[in-house]
Amino acid sequence: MAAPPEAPASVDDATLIEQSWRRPDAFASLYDRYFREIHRYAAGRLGTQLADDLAAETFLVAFRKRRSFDPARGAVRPWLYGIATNLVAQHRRSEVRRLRAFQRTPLDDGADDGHEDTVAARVAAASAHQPLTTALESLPDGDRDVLLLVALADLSYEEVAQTLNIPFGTVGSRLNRVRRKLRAALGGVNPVIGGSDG
Amino acid sequence: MDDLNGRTDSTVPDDLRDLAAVRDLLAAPSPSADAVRAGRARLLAALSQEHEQTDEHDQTSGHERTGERERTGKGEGAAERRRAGGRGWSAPRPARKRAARRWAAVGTVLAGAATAALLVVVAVVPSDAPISISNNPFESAGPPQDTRPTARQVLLAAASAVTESPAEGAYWRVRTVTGQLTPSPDRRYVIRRLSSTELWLAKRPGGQSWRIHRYLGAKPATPEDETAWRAAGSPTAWTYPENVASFDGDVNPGQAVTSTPGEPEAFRLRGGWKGAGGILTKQPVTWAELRAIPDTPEGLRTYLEARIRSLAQRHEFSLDGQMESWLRGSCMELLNGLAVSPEVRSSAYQILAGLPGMTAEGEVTDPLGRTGQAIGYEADMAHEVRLVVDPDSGQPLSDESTRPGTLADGRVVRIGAFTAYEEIGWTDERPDVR
Repeated sequence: MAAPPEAPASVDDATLIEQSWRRPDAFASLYDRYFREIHRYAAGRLGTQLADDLAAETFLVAFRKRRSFDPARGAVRPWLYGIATNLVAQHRRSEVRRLRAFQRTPLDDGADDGHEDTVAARVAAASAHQPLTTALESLPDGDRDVLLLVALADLSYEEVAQTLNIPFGTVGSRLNRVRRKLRAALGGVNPVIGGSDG
Repeated sequence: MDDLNGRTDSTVPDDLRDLAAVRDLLAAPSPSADAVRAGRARLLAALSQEHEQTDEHDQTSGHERTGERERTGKGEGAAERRRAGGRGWSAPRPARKRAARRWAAVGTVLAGAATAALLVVVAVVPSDAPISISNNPFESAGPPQDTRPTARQVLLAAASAVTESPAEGAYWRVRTVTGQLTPSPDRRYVIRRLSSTELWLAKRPGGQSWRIHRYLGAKPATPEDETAWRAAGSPTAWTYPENVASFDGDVNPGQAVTSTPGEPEAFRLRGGWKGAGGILTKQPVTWAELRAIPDTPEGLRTYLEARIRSLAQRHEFSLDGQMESWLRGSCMELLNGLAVSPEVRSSAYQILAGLPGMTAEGEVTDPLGRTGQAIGYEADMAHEVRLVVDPDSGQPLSDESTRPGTLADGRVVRIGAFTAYEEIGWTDERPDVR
C-alpha cells in the first residue's frame, strides 16, 4: 500500500478509501472520479441548484463514513449513489415540486428567469410531459429510486441492488412494475418530444 | 456482469423508449466549473480538518459538521437541520422571505348543507342541459342509494348555483390545503400531513405575484386512527425505516415526520407568471385572455379544444382518446383557480356534466370537514380521484387521489393525497411578505 500521493487512476476505488483512513487526501481522487456523475444524478432528480449542494454533501458524508465502507458488500460507486439517494430522499418535497413544475410551468420557483419566448416554449413543452410526470410523481419512492438509478445514472441491476441494499431480484421486479406503469402513462404520447425544450 | 439497463435481461422489454422519455425529461447538464470547484473546496476543507486530528478516531458521528466554515458559493442561508441527530444541510433557496403573519387555523370557509338545496336547484337547470329523468330524486321511490343525484345532476346544480360575480380586488387569491395520508411507521394508524399554499396573483401590470407555502403539521387522520395513536403512546414525531421496500405507503427511507408546524415561506413568481392570471391548459394565461374566454358551454368547449389542439400540434403529441381527459383537466383549472366570470364557471360545470366516466358518490365530508357532493372518476394511474363540490355555492371543495392500504391489524384505510380549496377569490389584502 505504497500508493503515490496523486493516487492515480490505476488505484482502484476501494483501495483509495482504505488509503484515506490514514491519508485523507486520497479521498479527493474519488471526488474527481465521481462528482460529475453524482451531480448529474442529483440534478436530474432535484434540479441543478439543489444538486450543487447535495453532490458536494454526498462526498462529505462519504468521507465521514469511509471507515464503514465494506468492499465485501459492493463497489464504491453504488455506495456513493446510495448516500446521494438518501440525501435526495430528504428533499422529497423538492422533487415533487420539480415534477409538478414540469406539468404546470417550470418558472414559478425563481430558478428560471428566461426570456419570454424560451419561457413559452418550455411551458408548452412541459405540458406535453404531463402524463409522464404524473406517473413519476405517483410512484412509490422505492420504485422511483430504482427507475432513476437506471434511467439517469445508468447503474446495472447489481449496482442498484447494492445502492439501495435490496435483493437483486427485487430490482428487476420493481423496474418491470415501474416500466409497465410508465408505458401505460405514455400511451400514445410521443416520448421523444421532451428533449427539445432547452 | 449484467448489462446496463437490463438490456440482456429477458424480463425487460426491448423497447426502452419509456426509459428514454424519463431521461429526456429529467436529464440535467453537467455541473458548472464553479460547482465542481466549490464542492471540491468543501471536501478539501474536511480532509484538512481531518489531517489536524492526531488520533485515529473517526470523529464523524453526531452533530459535528465538517466543512461548515468553508461554505462557498451562492450565499446560502443558515444550515437547516433536516433530521434529529443528522447532518444539517443548507439548500440554496430561491428568493425567499418569511411571511410572519399566521393564517387563521384551517377552518370552514365555505359551508353548506348541500342536499336540500340541491334538489331545488336541479329543478331549475336550463333546458339546454336536461337532467336524467330516471334518476330525478323527486320521482324516486327506491331505496335511499337510488335517490341520490347523479354526477350530472350534481355538476349541473353547481353550474346553476354559480351566479355571483365577486368584486374585483388587487389580488386574485387561491388558498389551498394539501394533505398526505400515510401509514405510521408501525402501520397501526394513518398519519395525515398538511400544508397550506396561497397563490397571490397581482392584478396590477408589473405587480409582484407570490406563492406562500407552509407546513401545517401532522396528526392521526381519523378518530379511529387517533385511538390507535394513543394506544401507541401518542408520538409526536415519526421516523420511517431505512428499508421501505416492502412498506406500503409513499415514504422515503429513514424519512422523519414531525407534528410541529413550520413557518410560512414566500416565493416570488417569475418568468411566465409575470402578468399571468393563472394556468389554463398547462400554460399561463393573461388577465386579458381570461376576460375573453367564451362563456357559453359550446363556446367554452370549442375554445378549450382549440387551445388543447394547438398545444398538441405544437409539441407533436397525440390526443387520441385523450381529449376528454384534457377537457376535464381544463375545466378543473377554470373552477379551481382562475378568475373567470360566473358564466364561464357555470359552463365549465356543464362541460364536466357531459363528460363520460363521472360517477356520483353522494354526500360526503371533505378533508376540511365541509359537506359536499362527491364525484368520482377514473384516474390514469392506480389511484381513484374524487372531486367534492358544494352544489349550493358552485364552489369546488376538494379533490382527492387515494388508494386502499392495509394496516398491521388488517384494517383497510385510504392512503394518498388531497387538495382542499379553502378560498378562491379577489382580495384587497396584501400578501404578508417581508
